Amino acid sequence: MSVAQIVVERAREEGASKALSVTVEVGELSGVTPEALEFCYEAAVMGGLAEGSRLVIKRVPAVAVCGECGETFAPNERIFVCPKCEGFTASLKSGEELAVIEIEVE
Amino acid sequence: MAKTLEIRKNVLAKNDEIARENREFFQSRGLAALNFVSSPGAGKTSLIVRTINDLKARVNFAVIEGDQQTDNDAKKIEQTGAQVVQINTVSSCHLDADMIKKSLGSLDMDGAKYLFIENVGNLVCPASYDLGEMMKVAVMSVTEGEDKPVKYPKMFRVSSALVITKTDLLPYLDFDVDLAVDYALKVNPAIKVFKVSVKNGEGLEGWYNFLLTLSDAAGR
Repeated sequence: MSVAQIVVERAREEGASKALSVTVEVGELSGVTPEALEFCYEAAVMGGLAEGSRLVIKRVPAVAVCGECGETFAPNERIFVCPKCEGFTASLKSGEELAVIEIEVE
Repeated sequence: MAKTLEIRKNVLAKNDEIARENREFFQSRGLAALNFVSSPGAGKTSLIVRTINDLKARVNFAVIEGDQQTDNDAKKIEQTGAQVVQINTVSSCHLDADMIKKSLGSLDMDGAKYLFIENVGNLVCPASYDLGEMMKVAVMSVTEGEDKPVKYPKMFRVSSALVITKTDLLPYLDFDVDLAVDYALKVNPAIKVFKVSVKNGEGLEGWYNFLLTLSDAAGR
């Protein structure tokens, strides 16, 4: 619903009459399932200027940085154990995104 | 003519903006706002009721209750004498920052040191919605699986404290408390863990001491 709102607001600002495609970034660990997003998107844009537009989903891989040794690694299911020093203090650099990146309008 | 517009806007940006306003409001009043999250039936309401009853002689509480339907929980809170407002989310599975902002108007929080927000029982969506709270408190009962923290890691990762409830039932169960704590610490090494029984009072003192330090932190 929020994706559709952002798209419609921005398209209106530009005086566009129709949104053709919408690109979103979805992090691996955002908790958002692309299939579910696609399914809801179709319903959310119905009846508005983004109806029938194409949803392009860019998956963002999860990257964690170890707080102890600085090693970057792909965390395993949010258990952020550094593979190098086995430290527990890694923080997430990317992978939690849910953002509208760009839209194509006319 | 078709053209491409760059947006780069976080989908939850609006929620986060309102959460920031809520946080400023809480801070300006020296209010420690805690967002209680758990699966349904873990014992959030019982923990809140007992906590208020045991501490109300020393500090004042206000409570926001979130449920899809009914005001049953709000009625239980009301009996403690604390101020309470019920939010029914109806079709929504979580509270969001705007619901909190709107409900703040119905609470006269003068004198309150704590605002307990009881979220909808759900370990998934509430993890993504900042309400402006000081911290999230995850509640998990010993009648659940020890691996809840690794099954729903995001929730345990964003929570600052974990209260394991119903420990009076341990003699009758195969639940391995140490294993559960281990899992929680794996997901979030900084999480503070309390093992309590609301029924017989076991372990509550540690939880209360922790709570009382929060109010000092908020009041500063």
